[in-house]
Amino acid sequence: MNKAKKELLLEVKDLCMHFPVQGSFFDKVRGVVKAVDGVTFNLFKSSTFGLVGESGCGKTTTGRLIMKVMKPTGGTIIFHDNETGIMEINALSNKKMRPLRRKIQMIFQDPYSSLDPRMTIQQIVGEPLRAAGKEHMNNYKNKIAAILQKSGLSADYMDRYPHAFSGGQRQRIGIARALVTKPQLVVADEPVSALDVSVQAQILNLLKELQETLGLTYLFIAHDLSVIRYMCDTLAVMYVGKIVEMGLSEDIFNNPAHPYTEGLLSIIPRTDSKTKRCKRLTGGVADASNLPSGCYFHPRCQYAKDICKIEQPVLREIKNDHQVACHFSLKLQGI
Amino acid sequence: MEDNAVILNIENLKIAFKMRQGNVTAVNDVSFQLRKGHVLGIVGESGCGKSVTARSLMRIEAPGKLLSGEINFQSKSLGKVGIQRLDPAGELIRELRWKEIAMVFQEPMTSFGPMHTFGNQISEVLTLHNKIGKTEAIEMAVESLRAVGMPRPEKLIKQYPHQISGGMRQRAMIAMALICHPQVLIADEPTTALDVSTESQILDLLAERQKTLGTSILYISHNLGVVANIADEVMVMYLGQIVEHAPVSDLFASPKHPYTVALLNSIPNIDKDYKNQKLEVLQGSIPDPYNHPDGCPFHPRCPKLIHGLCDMVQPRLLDVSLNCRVACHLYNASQKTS
Amino acid sequence: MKILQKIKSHSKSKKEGNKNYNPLYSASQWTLIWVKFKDHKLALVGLIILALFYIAVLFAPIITPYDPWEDSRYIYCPPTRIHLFHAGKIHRPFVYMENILTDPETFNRTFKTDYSKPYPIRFFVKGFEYHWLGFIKGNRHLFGVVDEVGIHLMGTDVLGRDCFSRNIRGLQISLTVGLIGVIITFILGCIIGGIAGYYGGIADNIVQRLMEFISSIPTIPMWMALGAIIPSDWGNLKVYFAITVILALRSWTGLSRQVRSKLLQLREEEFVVAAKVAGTSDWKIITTHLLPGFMSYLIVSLTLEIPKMILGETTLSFLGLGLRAPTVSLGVLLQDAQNLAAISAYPWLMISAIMVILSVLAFNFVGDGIRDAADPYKN
Repeated sequence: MNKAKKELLLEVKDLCMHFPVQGSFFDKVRGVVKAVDGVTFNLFKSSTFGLVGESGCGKTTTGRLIMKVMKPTGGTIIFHDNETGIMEINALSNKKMRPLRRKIQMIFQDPYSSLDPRMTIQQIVGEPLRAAGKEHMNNYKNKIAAILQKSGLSADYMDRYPHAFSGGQRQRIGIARALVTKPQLVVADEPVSALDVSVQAQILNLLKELQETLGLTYLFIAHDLSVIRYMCDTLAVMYVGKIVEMGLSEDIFNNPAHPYTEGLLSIIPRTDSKTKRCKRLTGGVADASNLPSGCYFHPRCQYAKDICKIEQPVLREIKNDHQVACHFSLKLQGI
Repeated sequence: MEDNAVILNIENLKIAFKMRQGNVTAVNDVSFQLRKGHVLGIVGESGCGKSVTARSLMRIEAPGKLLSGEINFQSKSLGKVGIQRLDPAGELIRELRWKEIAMVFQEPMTSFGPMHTFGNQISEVLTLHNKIGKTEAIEMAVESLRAVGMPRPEKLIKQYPHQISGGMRQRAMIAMALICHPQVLIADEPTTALDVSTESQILDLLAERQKTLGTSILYISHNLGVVANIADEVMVMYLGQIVEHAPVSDLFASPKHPYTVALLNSIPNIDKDYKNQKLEVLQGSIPDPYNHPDGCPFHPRCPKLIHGLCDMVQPRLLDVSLNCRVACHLYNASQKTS
Repeated sequence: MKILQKIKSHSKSKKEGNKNYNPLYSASQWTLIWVKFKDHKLALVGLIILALFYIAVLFAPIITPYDPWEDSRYIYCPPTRIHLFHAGKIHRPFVYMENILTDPETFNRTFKTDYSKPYPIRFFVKGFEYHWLGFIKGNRHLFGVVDEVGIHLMGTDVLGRDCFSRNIRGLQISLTVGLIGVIITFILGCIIGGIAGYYGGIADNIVQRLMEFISSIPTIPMWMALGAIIPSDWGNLKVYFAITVILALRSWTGLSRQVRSKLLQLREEEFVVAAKVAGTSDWKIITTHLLPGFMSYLIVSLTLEIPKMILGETTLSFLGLGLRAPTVSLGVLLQDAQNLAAISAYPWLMISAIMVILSVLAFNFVGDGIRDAADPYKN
């Protein structure tokens, strides 16, 4: 990857989403669930950035915060628009955000509930065009037909309804809808998790092709590490609302620096059962409403020492472009 | 019964669903055996019939209809019984259910009734099948929860399903399924809804219980990695038929059927750096269930299609080498008819 | 309709082996609902009954041979029998003359059939004058006989008025009161439920408490109270509309709750989030995504509200608090059937009850059918 020509597209700084936990009717707010807690990363044009983690890690919430489906409780999101320049979007009102919507689009996880069953494919895929305003409505039908074809569907399908299509085809429709306005950034929220294995592969390849032909930037959210490795150039591993490791895909998979990443890689079942792997991860994901003190991961960590129970580690760079949030990351890497 | 004896012998099973637009043959002439103490993995994508096949073993295939075929089970209490002949709502099958053939489902939240405590539900299994009192049943339930690694099982007995996490519910589900020491455990995608961390624990648990109790497991999953690590033999299904059935190491090291090959290629390898390479993708999609293709069901998508043969004649599932069966014309020459 | 033809030809072509295109793929939600609805046999029966009733109601003055308000001397006449054989030979349908004989001592009246002369039933006969739909003048009726004889398909009442004509007129009132009441319910329910569902918060709280308050008032006493305050000098039409408003005041709460809960559910659906993300405005989301989303559920609710209204009106009028004579509604007619004499001696007066039961059942069947057919996610 040509590192010299990296252009910033999105900057996320200290993003926070804290949900208040209600007590009973007479209790006031008892505490907070920090779904996303101080997340910072950058997206560069024409690259794919992965957000990976298990349930409750905050990756989906991060995606939705970037899409402005919810309002963050803290932090900033800065979008580098090719037309209007640098814009801070976290504080924008709904009205001001609307013209930007056609530049930041989303692909959803469930192909069955993300398409309105009462609209035709043409109406579904054309919705972002209609919402973008009259200037974008010229050649309406042609644009829709073109993007459907690029997504592997025939333009004849425009008059049909979603119930006529399989899961894989519906996901293609969802992709077509996300790309019809030629966005700069596409947030893909678990786009293949609900699909069969063979269909998954087709969709992943489609996403890669579309990135090459349309020059897209992806924020790819998934829980499946093998899919993340295939799709992403850079990635961030999240655990209970925080990023614990971030860097180039190659670096992280070949040399995981955080014990959690190392543990995950060790327990994922492989089809070549010949090489016996030592499982380095025990226990389940920490409970977000009852977090451990210090480093959230310490109860499961085989390298944990006293300091891990007291002080929360901060994300810092240990090598070029490789950041880890662990007190002992340098030691573990042998640096 | 000695190890490796056949306890479940399925022959030419055929199950169909009657839908508005026509009949759908969900399971089409499926034959296989399950041996004592073995784990048989069944893999396949949507519509391949793996779940329906498993459900028919307990006669819960409804609304599907078992049209023909035999399910011969070597029962402890009833001797050799043809399950296909039993009335799905009758007493005999209820005698077998849970006591000799048990099932673990994918979604633990919906398999446990939300209105009863774990103690109630698990002990109910015992009191229904054995003539023991409630107190004794509760004690046995506590022990079974301890055996699956639950911390503080005495506390768990009094809790409700919504009060604990998904992984723990699945453990409780396994405890409940194994409490009568059934001969056969059917696991229908038990870890699909769970995190990787929890999945790993549940798989370890199943393997440990299987070794200790000698239960035979029928493990259904679409996750090939999981099946590779838990199964002794693997069966690949496509559109209601078995396309390949082989010992686990053989299947993954040298897959024979083009569908198995394509399936294995479709999974991104977590240890491989793809750089600019792309996955080898299986073209097309699963055919319309109302219109199965003529001849081999896989032929429209097969890269090794033989015109005039594959699109007209259905290949039979035949032995290719020791314990390996494939349903493919490519292997006809080297097949030995069993 | 073109789609339906395509579907028919598809099932034919399926047998011929044309496997490619399933016209149901382009079928909209409504077409799919209709296809599934047809499978529901009871619902189809209900639909046919309703169609017949509404046609009868539309053409009421034409199909009824007598003026519902016209007295005659044929008091408490049992339903006229239609004969096909006279003196052993087949004849076009006809009736016999019924002579009234009064016993001079007990004043018991009996009817003696005069079998001598057949009076054939004629079609498109001239009869009493009417203003159809308010402005078309006419005097032709579907069937009838010459003046000296009577053809009373459902007998006559205490004043000799033809029950068949009165029942059809009664049906007219009962069935239309239901429709108008339901329109009012629909408007009220949608607006109020919509506000509660979409905005939530304080608005939701207020609306819900209001709904609970109104629902907790016992229905019949409330109707009775409201019915009693209708001034007795109000004209029939005014009373009629007042009744529909009273009935609607009770039923909007049910619909409102449905609208609110459906909105709350649909708001969270992924395709609504997708619409927001695409940049669609709130108003457009409500009208293009949410509203069509629960239109089918609303129609089911409304269809099931109508029988409640019919029963409500019948109850009120029966109790004397709704429509009053000379207005004819099924409830008013049932007032005449309140005594022992009606059940034992003149049972045909209770046919009005059968009309009520049939309409209520028909609406319920149709509503059930639509509800079963309306889920878009079922295959």
